[in-house]
Amino acid sequence: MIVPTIGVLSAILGAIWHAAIVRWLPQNMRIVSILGFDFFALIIVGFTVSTFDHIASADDWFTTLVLTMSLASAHMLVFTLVAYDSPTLSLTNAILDHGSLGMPIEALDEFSSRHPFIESRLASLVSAGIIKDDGHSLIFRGKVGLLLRVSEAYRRLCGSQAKGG
Amino acid sequence: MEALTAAAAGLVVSAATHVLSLRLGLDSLRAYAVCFLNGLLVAITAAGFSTANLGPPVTSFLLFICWWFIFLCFVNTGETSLRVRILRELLAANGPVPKHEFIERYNDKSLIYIRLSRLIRGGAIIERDGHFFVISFTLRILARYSRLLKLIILGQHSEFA
Repeated sequence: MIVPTIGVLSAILGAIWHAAIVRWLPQNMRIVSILGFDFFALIIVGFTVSTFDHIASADDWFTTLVLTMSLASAHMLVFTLVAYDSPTLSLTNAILDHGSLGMPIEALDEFSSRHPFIESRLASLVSAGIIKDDGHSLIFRGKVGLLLRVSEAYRRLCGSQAKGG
Repeated sequence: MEALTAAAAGLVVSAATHVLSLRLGLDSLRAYAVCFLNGLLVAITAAGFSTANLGPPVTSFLLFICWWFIFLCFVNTGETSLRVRILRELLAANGPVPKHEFIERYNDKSLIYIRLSRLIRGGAIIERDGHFFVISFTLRILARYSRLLKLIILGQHSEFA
């Protein structure tokens, strides 16, 4: 049980460190830094636990590393919901904020003007270097082209259609 | 390595089950449930379940859960993600796209209306006398919980605050 124990403890410790300081990190570091925190936590936890219970093989260490990084990757995906507003959840919160009277239809325009989701997503894609914005036009730089093509191929395999928006 | 191999086998079976389920006409939610359970069963049994040595099946279980969650996000964002939609459009354009045209076509107002229509069709939100109400308990909890997390971790309730 040493492998899952170290893996989970490292992920928990990394998550706690990350939560404690993330608000002071630059926007483009907030998600990717989780990998670093978890890796550092793995070193600390692994070293501490191994002084009590010797991990016998390189195999165990490798599996522990993969487990910790997998937990970190899952954490990164969950944290995306925290770092960026989901249009669906933001809209839901806006409706709930109107209380028992409900949100009037007229308030939707104000809501969309106060929540520039498209601009925010474009900015994050530009900052990640995936697209270039020269002020007049947007250019795809091809960094995630393969991933997109795999995604498209999988959707066609499932026979599904993309939902707009 | 048996845990890694078992979890990988579980994920492959899960993906294959997902494709097959959708092809056979199962709805999205049921397809996810079936593929998850199938993959989990394979991941745990292939790791060699034994009460004497729980390490490999527990590790395989944890790995499968993480990898299946990543798979779920990959499949789901391919369907509904704003970023993916933006990238698809730019990829299809095969060259520079005038920014003002793009912003006009993909504006926040139409995005919100599309999302709202989807929620109304799904029965999570209703419109009554010109007002919208959230009737889905799950959606209500998710929305409030995500706002609470943002407040605790980032010190603000919205990225636009």
